[in-house]
Amino acid sequence: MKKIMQQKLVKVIYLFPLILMSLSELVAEPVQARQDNNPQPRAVIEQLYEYFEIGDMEGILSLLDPEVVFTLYGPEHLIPWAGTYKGHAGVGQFFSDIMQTIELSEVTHDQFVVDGEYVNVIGRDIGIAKSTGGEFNSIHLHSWHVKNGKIVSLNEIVDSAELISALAPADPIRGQAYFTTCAGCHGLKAEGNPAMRAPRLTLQDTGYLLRQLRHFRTQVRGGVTDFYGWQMNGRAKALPDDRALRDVLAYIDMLPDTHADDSVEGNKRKGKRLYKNNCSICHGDKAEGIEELNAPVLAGLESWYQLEQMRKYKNGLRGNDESDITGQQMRAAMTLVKDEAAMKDIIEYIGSIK
Amino acid sequence: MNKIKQGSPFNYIADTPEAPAKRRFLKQTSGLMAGSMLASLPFHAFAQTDKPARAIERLRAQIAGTVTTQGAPNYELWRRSMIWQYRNFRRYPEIIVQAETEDDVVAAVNFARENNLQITSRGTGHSWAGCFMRDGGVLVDLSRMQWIDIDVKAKQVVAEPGVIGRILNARLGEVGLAFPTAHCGMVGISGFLLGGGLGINGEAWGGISSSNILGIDIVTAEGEKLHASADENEDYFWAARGGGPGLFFTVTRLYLKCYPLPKAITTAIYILPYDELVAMSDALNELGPNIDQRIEMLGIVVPTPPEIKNAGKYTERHVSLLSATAFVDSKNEATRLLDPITKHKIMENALAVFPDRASTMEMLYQDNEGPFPQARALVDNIFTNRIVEATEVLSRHMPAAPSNSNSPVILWRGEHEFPNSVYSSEGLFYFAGYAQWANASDDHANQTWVRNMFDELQVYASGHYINEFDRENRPLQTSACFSKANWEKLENLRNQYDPNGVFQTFLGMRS
Repeated sequence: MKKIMQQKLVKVIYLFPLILMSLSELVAEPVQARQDNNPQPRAVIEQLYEYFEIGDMEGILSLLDPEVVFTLYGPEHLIPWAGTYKGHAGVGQFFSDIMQTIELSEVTHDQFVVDGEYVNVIGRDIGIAKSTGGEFNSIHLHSWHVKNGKIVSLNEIVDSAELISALAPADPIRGQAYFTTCAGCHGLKAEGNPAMRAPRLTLQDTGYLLRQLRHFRTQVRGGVTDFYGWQMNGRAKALPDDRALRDVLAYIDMLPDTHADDSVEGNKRKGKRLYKNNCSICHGDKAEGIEELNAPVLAGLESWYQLEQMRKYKNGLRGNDESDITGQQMRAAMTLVKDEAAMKDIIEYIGSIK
Repeated sequence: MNKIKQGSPFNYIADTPEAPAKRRFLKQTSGLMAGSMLASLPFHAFAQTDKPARAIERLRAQIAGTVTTQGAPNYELWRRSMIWQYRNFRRYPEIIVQAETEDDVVAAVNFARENNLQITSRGTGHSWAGCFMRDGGVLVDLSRMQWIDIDVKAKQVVAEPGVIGRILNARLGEVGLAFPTAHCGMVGISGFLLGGGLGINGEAWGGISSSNILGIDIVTAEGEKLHASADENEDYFWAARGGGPGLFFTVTRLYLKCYPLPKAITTAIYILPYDELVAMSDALNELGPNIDQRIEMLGIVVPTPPEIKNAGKYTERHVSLLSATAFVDSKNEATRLLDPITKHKIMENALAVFPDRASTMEMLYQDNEGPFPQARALVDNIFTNRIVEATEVLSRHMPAAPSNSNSPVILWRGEHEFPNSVYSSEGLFYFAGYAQWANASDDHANQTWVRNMFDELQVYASGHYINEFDRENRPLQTSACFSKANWEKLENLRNQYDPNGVFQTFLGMRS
């Protein structure tokens, strides 16, 4: 299985204007020199994927017949890069269209089936849609035609529904339906319910909540040793796909903000010093959260919930998965908070911030 | 009597079997052949064509909640959101109403009746068989009706149908009270109670949880709001306590008797080798008649806990676990009442013993919910007086369980006298086969496993608990969940109070 990291692909985009400018030269160049004489079709495709992996657009173009045709199947009004692209300029346009729309984190080529001049490759594209933040994990079939060592055509068939789902804007109307499963614990207006150990959701920025929902779905957060997280694992997985997460959060975003006024009876004065020294750099002077740092809002959240989460970070129930980078940051930060009394002091101070 | 048919004007031009095809054809050919079709269609078909859309708009304007119709872009989202577990019950109501208030329920019932549609309702969607999900008709979602009012002095609580068991006991616990909700805290109270309700500490708290229903507010098939209790509208009250998934009215409020929260709930857990399963059932059988009613005693088969597996001496896939919880006010009393269990000779073979864990209601919920991954699930059950023979059947089937999360439970019930209600199923033991698995590709294997085991177990059955009865596979055996007399009375009451079949009857049984 070959993987291509997104940053390598980005190189293609950076190269793109250059490619367009020098396209006629490129076509005219003796690119054949870069290759073996009349290599096998499979070797050509494997070479192309290697160029793709390192972001070598020049290399890619060197493998294409000047009259190459790329056809990407799918509804053109829903998938911006669907359609037919001709020649080297067209292929450049294709890469531009696709990279303006999505960010790929992983591309795999899992199975090669060769039939004479035809090479059919089944694999996956994993990434996010730039306009929506929606994740996709889409199977693809690349059907290549290689003639005399040059690629003359590509027919690409993808899981259009998966891609369209990721490209669809979050829809609160759809989210209202999904919220049925949330309201039992989090309340009719997502105001939270301590009896269910369910925090209020309305104050939080959507990006943070989306990250947490994804973590619950994939069990990066929760698991059997974290009982209430375990409950959330079940409910988050009951939402059918990534789009549903964005939809339900769009609905929650429309609900009125409410603020908690409970207390864990800490020392506000001590807490102020601890907060200023250890927490405010990420969570903000007023505990308002800093989205750019992936630090959630704390002001207005329930004290019991904050205490429970601090304990979880402290004892490793949260932030212990290597893919949870922000959780690991918070877990590291919690080493600066020496004990439960300090946690309560900080929370008491946060509760007093106006 | 005229009963409403499964079809309706929302799918069909006319309520006739041939109508759907005619409507499709008419759509396809409108403007071309409509004139020639006129002669072949019944006249009333056209009289109804635009009425449904107007009626739905009126309903939408009338209620505080939401209305979703089949064919609407988000219909399937709403439909799937009604089901708690991950299995997709492929039954499609025409209209889904998410109610916010009792008046919304009245409007939905009136709408259904006036438009010849049948109606069902769901609380929190936990029905194992998704019995609320039917083809055609109206599904009313009551989950957003979550009001709770506690009368501490009278030890009573009034709760709406969307209330979840864990919330109810958390609120009651604040004032020193408790209620026998379902053992899993996420289960809503309404479907659980109306189906009878095998609840926490059921032995001491009413025998069956629905015994603690003191009254109900309902909406009748005529759209009338009534209160029913032992003293008024007695027939409705009789049916509500156990007739749940086939009631001919909708319950919008439950008036419940509560109990003082025991001060020293204590749980003893004994982990035995899987090979001791039948012996464990024999021990439960022997201990049962002599233990105090305030002890809830059960056996369960679970995957071997990692602590035992990691110790290296025990390599079996499963263990047999005996759990006994004393709902008492002092630890000494708990120890005294649990003593006969602790001293039973079978405990000599225990792999591990946790003799006296101090428990809260929340911990008991977690005990039960921990092993439930909220995935795909199915259950069947019997009440039985022949637990040892029934457990022998289980011991033959358990090694072939397709999923590691399949955990059958044997609960000591003892003998009970029930109040005057439709609930009428009993046996010394309750035996339920809970199957849970992750993937749709395993549906068939797990369904077959449960069905085969319970086919064999039927011979030992003294009754069945309707809430956990496999109504997908055994719909025509539904009457076995009730005594013959009570089943007949229930059906007579249905004909009397809902003669036109506004409310759906039990899943798989035609009105």
